[in-house]
Amino acid sequence: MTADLPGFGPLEPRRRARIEADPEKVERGLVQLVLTLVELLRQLMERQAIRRVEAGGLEDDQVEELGQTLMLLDEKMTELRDHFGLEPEDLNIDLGPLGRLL
Amino acid sequence: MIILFCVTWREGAPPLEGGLELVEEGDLAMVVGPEPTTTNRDDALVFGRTVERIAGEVDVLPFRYGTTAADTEEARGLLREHGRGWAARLQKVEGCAELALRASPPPAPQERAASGADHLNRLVSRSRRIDAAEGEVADLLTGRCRVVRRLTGHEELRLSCLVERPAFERVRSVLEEWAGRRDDLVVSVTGPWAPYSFVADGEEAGVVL
Repeated sequence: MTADLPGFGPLEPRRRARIEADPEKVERGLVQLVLTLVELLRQLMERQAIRRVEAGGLEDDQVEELGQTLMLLDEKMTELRDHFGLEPEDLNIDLGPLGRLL
Repeated sequence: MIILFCVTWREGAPPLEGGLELVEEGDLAMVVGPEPTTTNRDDALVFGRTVERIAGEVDVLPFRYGTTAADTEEARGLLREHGRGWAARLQKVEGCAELALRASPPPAPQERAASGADHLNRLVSRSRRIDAAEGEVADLLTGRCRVVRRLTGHEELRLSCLVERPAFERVRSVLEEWAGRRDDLVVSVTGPWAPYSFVADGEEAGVVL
């Protein structure tokens, strides 16, 4: 059921972050953060590519090249996620009042 | 240290149990409780259930899980500091609950696309189906919700709807009927939730359909 929760409440007058001192967890957290940013860029590229296709005007070889790039990026991200034991939903950041990053 | 659950109106605040306490200031009250000694999934679920139980009885603005104050005096200070804004938001969600809808095409086939163009066409097709679903849902929700927000994410449709409680089951059933006709989409309709997506700055704006 947690996956369906729309998100715990964003009221946030004062938040005290807990510092996680376990080195293994720190490393995993860092990897998760970096991959989240890469995933954001990947999704932005996808969105831009979809807009360009919808707008028309791309030559066939441009569509092929763009599609190849996105396919490779997608595959690399899946590999990296698997390598670090992360699920797709792990690659997100709650930005508080701004909502979730992805 | 105490954990903050939600803000509600002082008048009509529900009776509390299980170590929960009501901190009152002006027209508002804040539900607080002892901070858990651990931070795990179960604690988050207990927090969520507590907020939902209270939200089932009165209007609330839920706090983000993990929001704390040093003690009840600091909590009272927060009510003094933010009271005016919180009261205004409580009025905007008055009598409402949140309904969450998620819709997305089934997961992409596992086989690799035959070409770059094939991969891109799959993405475009998926995007069109999500846009079409959004249009259909928008038509269905017109006049039925106080506010609808589309949450971020282009790989699925995620809507949070602020619905007046008497209309909630009707809105849910309209969406579930629609979902039943869309066998090309994986749809979930959940709620009623506390108005988690409508309590921060600007979130009350959304779209009025």
